[in-house]
Amino acid sequence: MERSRSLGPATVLAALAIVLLPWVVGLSLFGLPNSDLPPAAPPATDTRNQPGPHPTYKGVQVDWTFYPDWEFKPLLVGPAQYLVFMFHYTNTGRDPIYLMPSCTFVAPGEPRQAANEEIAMYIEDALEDRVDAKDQTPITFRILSGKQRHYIVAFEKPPGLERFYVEVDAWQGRCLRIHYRKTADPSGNSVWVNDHNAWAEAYLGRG
Amino acid sequence: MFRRIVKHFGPEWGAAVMGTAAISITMQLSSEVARPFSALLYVGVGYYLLATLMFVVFLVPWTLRFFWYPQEVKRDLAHPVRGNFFPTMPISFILAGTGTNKLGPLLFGPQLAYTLGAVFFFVGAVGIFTFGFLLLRIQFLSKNISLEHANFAWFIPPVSHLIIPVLGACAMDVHWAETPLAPVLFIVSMIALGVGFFNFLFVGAAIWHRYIYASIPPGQLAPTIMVGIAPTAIIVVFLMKFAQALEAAQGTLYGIRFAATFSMIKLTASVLWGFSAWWLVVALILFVHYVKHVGHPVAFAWWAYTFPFEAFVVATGLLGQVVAPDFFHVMLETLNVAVVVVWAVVVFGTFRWLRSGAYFAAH
Repeated sequence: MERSRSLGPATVLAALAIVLLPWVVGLSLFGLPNSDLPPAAPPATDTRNQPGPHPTYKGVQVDWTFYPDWEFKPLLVGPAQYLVFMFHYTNTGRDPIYLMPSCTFVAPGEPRQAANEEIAMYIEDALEDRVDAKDQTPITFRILSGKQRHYIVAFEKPPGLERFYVEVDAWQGRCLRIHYRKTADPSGNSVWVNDHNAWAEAYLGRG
Repeated sequence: MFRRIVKHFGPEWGAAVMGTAAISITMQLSSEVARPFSALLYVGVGYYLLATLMFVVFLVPWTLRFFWYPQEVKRDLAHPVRGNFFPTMPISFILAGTGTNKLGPLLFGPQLAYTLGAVFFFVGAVGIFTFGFLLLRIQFLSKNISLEHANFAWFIPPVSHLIIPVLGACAMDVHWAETPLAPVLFIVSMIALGVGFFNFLFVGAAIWHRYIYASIPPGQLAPTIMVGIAPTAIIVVFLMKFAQALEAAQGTLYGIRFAATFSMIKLTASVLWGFSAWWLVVALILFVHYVKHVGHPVAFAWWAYTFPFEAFVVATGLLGQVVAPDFFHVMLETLNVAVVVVWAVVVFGTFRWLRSGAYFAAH
């Protein structure tokens, strides 16, 4: 190892440029819009505002807010639409619970699809503002009795989608299926309708 | 001049890419903790872009050297210390893939990002396995390696296999879950995990032996002690990503049930994180010893302070998603600041090292 020399001004500037570059680039990109959902677009569903009964099992009540056409624009390419849910889990039991919910998208002719955590992360702030609820950062979280916690789930939206269901798996051996289909409202516009929900028993085998 | 740069372009430059790429993930995790930190996601993109630029720029002379100066490469491969740094470039492929997996969708959408992530996985895995076999053969057959050569950079060729399943599990999550690629990702990842884990124990014991029964490495190699943090931290990262991959596979992957394994994953990850945290203190103790009593000269090896520390911070952030979030979130944000400071100091140190003429000096 040779004896080190002190840094000259040009070297200091070069090193400083490299050190600051990610911050300058990052903070510049932070200001760019990337979530283009029109401000007035309401959610297709917000079950918090609907009369009960709300799906409840083993002391966990599930509500959700659903945006069927959430547009997210990556920085370098055009926007794409996503099916975006914010689930609201309420502990209706007497004791605190730990929840680790998992959601799967199922549609005819499409492969089953797990939730896209990256997209959910990118749109988190915009969705929280829209729904007025704070997403849980941990993937497993504690809910005290009578309290509600919120969790964002985003799915890539296949083209030509007409119907699908989302499987909410937050228990052992049982899951909630939330069914949606596209239909026309009285003025002829297509809208997504939550036509029914169903409980399904999950296979719990030994293999 | 360019040929001269290529001739002296050592195998260790991938370490700078590793140390820069991993910050993109510490930033991304830090951004998730609370609203005031949201901008860090984009700062992470800044680090990701810088790491990508460094990766491309370094890959050119690194590759050309194999064709233009094979004798130099051969000499470095046989070097008991320097040779161990060759896998840093394939590891950079894995880290580029991991960064692309997490931040690529923000730049160019999920499809391209996840596809690139899978490509980086296979290129990186081939490189890590190839150098792993090659360097182990050289080490086993060499008659010039003695106890005084042992240092934690020895972890790099065999234990770096642990990084493969991290990207494998990321890729198995969501996009490639339940596709024909998933079993391939799974098998390659599990083989790499086995290689990395057992070599961590074997090689670690050999290095430990030197630290106890012989003198500690000279000042230029002082930062290599930090490499010891990485293996268990990387396994924590893998376990967290694997849990998510299980979840993405409808909760069961080859009969490995998420519900049945998640508690054990959390427990194991906590124990392994604890070992890395303990090692961080050991590294600090030795750092102080070097500075006070041995000397801690400016060297390219300073980059060894970056990636292992960042891997520990990533492990902290991911563990905080499943265990004691309040505690780990505070740690994550604090350590993330430390990561940036360490990285900046190392960047300045590297420029100082370059100005010293050490780049062109014989090693």
